[in-house]
Amino acid sequence: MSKNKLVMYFFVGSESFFFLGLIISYLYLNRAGGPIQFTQQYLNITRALIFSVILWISSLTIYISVRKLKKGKRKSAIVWLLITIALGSAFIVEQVMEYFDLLQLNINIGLNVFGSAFYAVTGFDGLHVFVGLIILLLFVRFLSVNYFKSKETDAYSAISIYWYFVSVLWFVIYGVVYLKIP
Amino acid sequence: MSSFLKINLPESGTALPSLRSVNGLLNWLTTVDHKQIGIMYLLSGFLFLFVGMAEGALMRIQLIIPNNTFLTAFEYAHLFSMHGTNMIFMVLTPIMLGFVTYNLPLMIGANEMAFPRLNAFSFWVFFLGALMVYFSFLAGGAPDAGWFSYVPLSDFFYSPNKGISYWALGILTMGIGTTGAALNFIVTTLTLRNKGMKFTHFPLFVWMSFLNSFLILGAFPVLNSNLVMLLFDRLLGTHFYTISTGGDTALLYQNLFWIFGHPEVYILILPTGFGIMSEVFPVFSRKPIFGYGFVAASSVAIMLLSFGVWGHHMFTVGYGTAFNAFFSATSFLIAVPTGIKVFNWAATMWKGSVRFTTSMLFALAFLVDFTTGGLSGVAFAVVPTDWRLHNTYFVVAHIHYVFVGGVIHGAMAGVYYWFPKFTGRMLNEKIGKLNFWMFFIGFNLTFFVFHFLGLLGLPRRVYTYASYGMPYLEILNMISTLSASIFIGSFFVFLYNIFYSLRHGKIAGNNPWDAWTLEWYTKSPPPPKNFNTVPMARSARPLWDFKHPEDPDWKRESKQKKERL
Repeated sequence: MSKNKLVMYFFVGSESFFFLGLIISYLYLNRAGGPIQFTQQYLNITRALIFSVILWISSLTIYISVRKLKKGKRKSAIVWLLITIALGSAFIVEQVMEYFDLLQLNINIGLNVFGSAFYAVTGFDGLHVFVGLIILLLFVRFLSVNYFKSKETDAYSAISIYWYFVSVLWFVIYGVVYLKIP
Repeated sequence: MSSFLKINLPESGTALPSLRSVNGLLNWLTTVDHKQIGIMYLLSGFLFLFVGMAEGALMRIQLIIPNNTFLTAFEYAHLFSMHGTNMIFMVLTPIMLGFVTYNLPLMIGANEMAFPRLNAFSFWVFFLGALMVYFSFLAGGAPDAGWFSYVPLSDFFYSPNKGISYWALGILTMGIGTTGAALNFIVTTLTLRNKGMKFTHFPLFVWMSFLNSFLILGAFPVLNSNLVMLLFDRLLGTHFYTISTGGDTALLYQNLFWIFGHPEVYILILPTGFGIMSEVFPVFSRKPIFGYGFVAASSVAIMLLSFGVWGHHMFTVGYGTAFNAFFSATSFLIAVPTGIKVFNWAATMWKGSVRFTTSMLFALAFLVDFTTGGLSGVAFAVVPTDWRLHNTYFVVAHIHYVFVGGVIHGAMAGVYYWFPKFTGRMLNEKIGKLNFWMFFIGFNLTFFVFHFLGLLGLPRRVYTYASYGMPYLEILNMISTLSASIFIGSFFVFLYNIFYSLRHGKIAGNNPWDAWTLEWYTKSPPPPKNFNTVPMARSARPLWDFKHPEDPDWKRESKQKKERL
């Protein structure tokens, strides 16, 4: 395996330990009798689900994009990449809407343990999506000027691994935060 | 006029550019060369060692007589917090990273790390973090809640100055750097190693660094998430650890901290302690290591077990019998693979022709002192003993025997062992012997009495004590402080030795110790491109095979394998 992909696998591995710490804290604060039950009902579960699905679809589109680039179809790779960026941005927009609605109800980060844990966990995921979007935008530029002159698509595959990780991470967080799974 | 700065590329043969050469400083500050970065890690580690030692010295002066008024309680709290933070995060960590960054590519026959720029990033981010923690002194007060900053002590209400915020931010930054370094080590080992070098051919130092990097990837992110929550509490007014949530989240902090904290001990000891020992003992006993497989496999066991022992820091919390029994059992268990290694090193010397160089003396002292630290560690695995000794000077004795007796002994052995490779000159052996004996005697006298102080019941982190009530307090503290001066003196002898030997040291040659790992194949100091050619590694001792084509290790190993079949 190439070093770029390898380092990305280990990087997302260590990132998952970071989120493990946050999610453990969320669950601990979420235990029976905590103030969390009281506030959690204000979350918009359906809207979040729709946009979660959009984020998960964006994993599929970046997968297609990587495949296209491997086959040398640079133009269509860029198109699929732009679709990925659009879907990712939609997810960010939804998160902003969610935050906005909660803030209307005066549920802010300092209100109670729910506010703290909710904004920390979802905020860090949103941050990861956001950083991913910036990197993907850079890749639009890289691909359009044919920065990777050879058929070497390592760096692009590596960044797609990061994008999959963000999607999987949101899968877990959606389950924990919105569906109260454990 | 050209808009580009001219950087003197190092000539071949002169290893690293001198600071005095044209734009030499700029070259060092912008370098991506693993050898220069490794040396910068080591230099900053030893720089902070002197800072931390000064903090320790101030505390010892305060404790020399009962009811001393040299420091106020407030100043003392700042000092012990900074001493611990400094020693663990800014001394032991960079020294470990420095040895690995310098030696790992050389030992696996590579010319660079997999990601040279990530390597430079890791170093500078570490350095930035360290400066951030120290900046707290200027920003209105150092951290004052100990090196693990338990909540609610570290919460805004109890520590309203900015110290803890800088502490958390700095350590968070250093954690990012360390994680980056670990990623680099893993990928370098996996992708750039010498063709033909199988996992069973890794030098043990490489084994330790490799396994250690996985520990870092698992432990540091957990610490970072914990620090992020602490920071949010202090800066954004969140309620992760504030008492208003019911007060019991303090235990969450403790759990998360020690999930990082106990692997951290092994992160520091694996390369710098165990890795360097596994190189130094065979080379100076003129024998291959006894039980190569056992040393490697027991380290895998340590790596896995170390994530399951954190609870022994929390026996006094009152989680109940099941919790205590589980973590007591795992803590006993992890002592086994550590003990195995001690026997491996001792058995390596058996019937060898031991050369008592300074490096070897430090290694022998490591065996004695680290075993002492290990035994006092086992004492904490016994729950009732832990209840009695928790938060006393016995803990302080234990941590110093593990970190100084283990890691710093290893680091000193490593410096004396690899200095010829770093600089091309040998460290002076006579001054080295003086350094060793002052170190060994000073260290043991200073810290062994802590065991007694702890058993007598003196709590740690008290800024002074009464002259009555407990026997021997005065005399033991007096012994400790006076011996500390010998201990600290030994580091100045060490410093003198380095400056002296840089000028007047014997020219080393490629392989002064007649060692068997690949870093000794190249020039001392290595040219910017480490190797032009490199012997193929077919056993764990490639240079032995290279020099003794009539009796190589790999031939003997395959013969043994056949006989076994």
